[in-house]
Amino acid sequence: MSTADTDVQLLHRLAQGDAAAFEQLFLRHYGTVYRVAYGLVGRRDMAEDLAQDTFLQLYRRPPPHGDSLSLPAWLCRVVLNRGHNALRTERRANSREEQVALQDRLSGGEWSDPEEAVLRSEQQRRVRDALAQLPERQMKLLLLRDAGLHYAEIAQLLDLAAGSIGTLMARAGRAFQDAYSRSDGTQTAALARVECEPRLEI
Amino acid sequence: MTNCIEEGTLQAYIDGELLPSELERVQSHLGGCAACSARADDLRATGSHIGSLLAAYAGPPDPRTALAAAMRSISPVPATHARISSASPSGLPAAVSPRAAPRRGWGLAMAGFGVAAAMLLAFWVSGMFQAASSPAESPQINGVPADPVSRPAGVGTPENLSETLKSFVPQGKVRHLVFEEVEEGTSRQKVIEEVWLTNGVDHPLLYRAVSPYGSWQLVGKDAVWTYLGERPAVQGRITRLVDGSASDRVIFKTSYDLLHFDRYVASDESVNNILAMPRADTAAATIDGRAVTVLEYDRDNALRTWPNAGRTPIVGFSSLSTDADTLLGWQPRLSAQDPNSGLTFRVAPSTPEVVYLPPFPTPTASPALRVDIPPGGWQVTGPEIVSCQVWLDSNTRQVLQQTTTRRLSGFRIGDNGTPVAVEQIITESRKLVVDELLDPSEMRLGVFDLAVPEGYRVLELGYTFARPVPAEPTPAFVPTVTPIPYP
Repeated sequence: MSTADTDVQLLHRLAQGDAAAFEQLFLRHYGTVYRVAYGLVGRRDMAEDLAQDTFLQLYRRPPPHGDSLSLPAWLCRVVLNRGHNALRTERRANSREEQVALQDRLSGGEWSDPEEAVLRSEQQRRVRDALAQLPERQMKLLLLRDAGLHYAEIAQLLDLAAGSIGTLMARAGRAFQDAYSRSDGTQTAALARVECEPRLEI
Repeated sequence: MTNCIEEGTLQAYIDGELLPSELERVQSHLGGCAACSARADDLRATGSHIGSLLAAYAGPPDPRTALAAAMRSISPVPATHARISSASPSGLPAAVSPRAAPRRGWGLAMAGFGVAAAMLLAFWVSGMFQAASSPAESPQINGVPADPVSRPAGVGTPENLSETLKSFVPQGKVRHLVFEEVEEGTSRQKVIEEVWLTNGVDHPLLYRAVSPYGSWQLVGKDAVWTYLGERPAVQGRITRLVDGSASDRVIFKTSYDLLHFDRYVASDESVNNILAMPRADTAAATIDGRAVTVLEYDRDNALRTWPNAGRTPIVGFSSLSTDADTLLGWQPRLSAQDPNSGLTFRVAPSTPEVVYLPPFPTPTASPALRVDIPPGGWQVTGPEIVSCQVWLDSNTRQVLQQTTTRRLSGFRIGDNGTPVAVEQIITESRKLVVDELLDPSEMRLGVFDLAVPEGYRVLELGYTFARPVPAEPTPAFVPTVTPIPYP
């Protein structure tokens, strides 16, 4: 039960019903999955739920043996799909509540320390706004690179040519920088952008 | 400088994504090109800035706290209720084999809500492949240690299943469904409680689903059998609606892993009913005459559609039960109590175990419907029947259909010595009347023989009982008193 077990080894053990293997995989990749989820939805509670659901899927239906994706990439794909579904459901559920929730989020109310809340909320708002202003593909490019995925994996997840990722990534970075620099106002488009197509994942 | 590096290549260089051959070329160029070096520096600074912003943006919570929550979600199962009456107290306690070393408690609890107007009984046994268990192995039966002395306090095992049945559980799962029909205005909804128990070997899951609408749709009977004839559904269930419509219900369930895959077939009328159900995504269905768009949700509640080409209207729906529960806002309970027997059962925290607290209930006869399943009744021998369900109308006590699915799946050794997947599915059905089932001998309708061919191993066993629905109260007799006047 070495902590140096590779993902593949841990997945194999998980398939044998080894709960400890699941725990190791969870602790190893949770941060990555959470960050992608949070970057996508911009809400802590929602991101936690998405990350947890993603790992529950890993537990219940892990990637098949021989899957071409690495485990982090597979997890990112699951959490992105789930995030889209969640946002879609949320949008349908109650737009008014969404607006209220968005205001709550922008107020930085989830931070207990008032000073930290001010600083964090301002920066968070700017990052959130900047991400929200990006085209969806650019946002995903940044989130997936931030998650440590290789270009080939990003290309596979986003259905892009691997050779184009560098160019697209540079543009995405520039677009984010521009948006971040502009995001000193109060405009938010946080969730309004996400009109996602149904996602299928088998 | 000529032949400057293209921006995408520079970005890939900074991100460490260049092939060695390209890397050498880029490094060589950057050494002599100030412009490209400056561009590379800009890209590097941008990437670094974005990375720091994103890192600060989404500081994750403590993963160990999240892990604890995840583990709770993995094993959130309260035990279920079912009411089984038995005329045979000797049906209790048929303990597990002394050789067995089961790890988990599982079982069947008793519950009831007054007199039963009717009852639905389904049973299935699902077999899958693999080599037969070695007799020398100590089977990991879902249950508790066989030796009563060593049995942990408070842990029980269902006494209603025979040794024979239990002997097939060791590598398998037990699924337990309870269907409760609740009158609601002129329509009826079903509450489905479901528990999966596993031995933790293949799928160490244990969870329960309660879903008022998530697993039921309304269907036309003709469509059902058309569907059954067209596709090798593993299971088909039919019951009659009691809201006055002519629609029926069906669930096709394919069990792979521990996920549900439900399909529904619906008439036009039924589709309308489906659309009236409070599922926002289902409302996306479109009806164009008899051409009904098929909706299907994958286990992530994603939606896909395909046209039905003007044939029998079909509505497809599939979901993982837990996702459906999430959608419906269901939260698992960690304990429950049978109001009749007083049996309390709970789910041990963070462990996929259902712990039954003593005393284990003694079945009592139901005044309305009796299901007698003695320990020896669960014979698991014979052909490769792996699924059977019997459906009773709760109000009329009429058996609507019995559907039996035989499935043989697994591997055989091919000519070249390599495993070859084998699967055969046969679905049969026949009409029944309730009297058949009420006959004690016919109670064994829920008992099916399963012959496990050499080289195969049963991976899944299940049984389903319905909770009796309280009968309509009998109106009190109020005599009419008419004074007789004196002449």
